[in-house]
Amino acid sequence: MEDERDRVSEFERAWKAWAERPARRSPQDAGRRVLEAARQRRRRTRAVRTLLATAALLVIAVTLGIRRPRPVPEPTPRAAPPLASAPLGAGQALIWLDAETPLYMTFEAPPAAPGGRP
Amino acid sequence: MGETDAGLVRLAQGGDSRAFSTLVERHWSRLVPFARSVVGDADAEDAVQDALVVAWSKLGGLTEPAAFRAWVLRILGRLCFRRVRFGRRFRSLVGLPEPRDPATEAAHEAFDVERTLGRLAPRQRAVMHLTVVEGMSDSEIGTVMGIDAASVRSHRRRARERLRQVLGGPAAEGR
Repeated sequence: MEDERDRVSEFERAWKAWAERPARRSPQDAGRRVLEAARQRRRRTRAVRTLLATAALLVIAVTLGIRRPRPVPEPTPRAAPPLASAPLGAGQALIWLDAETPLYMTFEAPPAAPGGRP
Repeated sequence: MGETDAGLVRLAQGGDSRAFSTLVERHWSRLVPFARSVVGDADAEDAVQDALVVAWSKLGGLTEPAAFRAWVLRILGRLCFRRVRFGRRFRSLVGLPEPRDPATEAAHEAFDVERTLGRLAPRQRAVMHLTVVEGMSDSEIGTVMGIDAASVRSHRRRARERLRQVLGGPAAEGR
């Protein structure tokens, strides 16, 4: 047990030595790279935002275009049937069979038959 | 250059990129070892660079400029855990050039440190690093990791148990 503990302590010392080896990049190089990477990241973020905004505008435009009610064609005014306005003469009658169908009737007494009853 | 961290942070918050660059230069060599312990040697410097870029973009939100180091360590910790989680596995530095320092080389040559660290969970590696390498107190580690001191102790205890198993040899590992 004591041996194991010693072995762990020994490993921890080796770990510290391993971890603290000098980095490959110098601190100055690291500083430069970090600022450059930050600039690139900002540019990328801006490009993505522009793209998203454009896409959002496009979606809004398409949605509004689809939802706008289409103009309903107005019914063309029909010319009134000429007969309907024709003045009725004596012995004439007009009956509307429906809104578009006038029925004109003319009443006339039948001619007197020759040799008929006096 | 004699400016304190707090002074540099205030300048950088006002948009002074040179002040931020000075902060990077000042903390770079203390941040890389932490990342090395959590993500491995190969990814460490990229992880630190990413964390510093995030820090630069969020610097306006740092309300305690004197606590810059703990704040950056916290960002770095989160990024390192994410890197490990999303498949950038802790890997050894096979074939990559490595600076040679004879004074420290002998100490870690006796162990395959990176391989052994790979047997610990990422949070255990972070807690152990802040304890062993940085010599931080439990509450300081808790602040950096966003956990309480009891959890710090628990991570450390489990990490040491695991190390004891791993370093105890094949029999102790139950292989």
